[in-house]
Amino acid sequence: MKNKKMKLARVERDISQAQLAEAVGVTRQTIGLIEAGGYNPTLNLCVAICKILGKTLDDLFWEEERNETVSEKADR
Amino acid sequence: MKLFQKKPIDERIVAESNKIYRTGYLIMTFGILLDLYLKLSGFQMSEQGMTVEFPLVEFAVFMAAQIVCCIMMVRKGFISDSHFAETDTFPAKHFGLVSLAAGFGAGAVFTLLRCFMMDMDNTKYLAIIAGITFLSIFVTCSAACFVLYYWTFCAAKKRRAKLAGGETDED
Repeated sequence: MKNKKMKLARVERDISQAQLAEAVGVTRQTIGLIEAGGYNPTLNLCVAICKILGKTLDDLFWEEERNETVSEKADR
Repeated sequence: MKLFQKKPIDERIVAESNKIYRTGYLIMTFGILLDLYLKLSGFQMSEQGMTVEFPLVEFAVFMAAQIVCCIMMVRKGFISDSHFAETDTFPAKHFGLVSLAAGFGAGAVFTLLRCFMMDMDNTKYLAIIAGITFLSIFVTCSAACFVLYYWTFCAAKKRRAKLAGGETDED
C-alpha cells in the first residue's frame, strides 16, 4: 500500500528522495519503494525517517483502514 | 576515535541478500549431499567390479550456486551486499581491488598446487614455471573478475531502471 503521508511530509520539508535516503542511511530506491508501498521498513528505519521529517510514527505509518480497536475486532 | 568509519548498508539490501544467500546455501547443501551419495554409490559399485565416476558434480554445483545467486541479485537490481549495491556509477576502484585480490588468491593457489605436482627432477625450472603460472592465472582471473563485475553492474543498472519505471515519480 502506497505511503502518501510519508511522501507528503517529505515534499513539505522540500527534501528529495536521495537526500532523505542519505540522511537515514539507505538508498534512494528504498525510499522510493517505501513510498510506493513496495517495501515494509523496519521499526528502526521508520523511527529514523520520522526524526528527519519531524513527524510521529502514527503520522507517517499508521494505516487508517486498520484503525480499529481490539474489542471491535473481537465483536466482529 | 574510530579510524575506519563503516558506511551503513541499506537494510533492504541486507534482507534481499540474505534471501539470495540462503538460496545459494541450499543449492550447495543439496549438491554436496548429491555428490556424497554419488561417491558412496561409486565406491559400492567399484567393489563389484564396476566403476562409476562423477568428477564434475562439485564444480557444477558450485557454479550453479554462484550463477543463480548472481542472477537473483541482478534481477533485484543490485550487484553486491555492500554500500555499492545500488550505485549509479561503476565503483571501478573498489571492484578493481577486489578483482586483483581474487586474481592474487587464485594465482597463489594454482601456483602452489602446480609446484607440488611437479616432477622433482625439474626443480631448476621451478621458479620460472611458478612465475609464469602465477602471472598467467593472476592476469586472467583479475581481468575476468573485473569484466564480470562490470557486466553485472550494467545489467543491474538496467534492471533498476526497469523496476523504477513502474514506481511513481520522485516529486
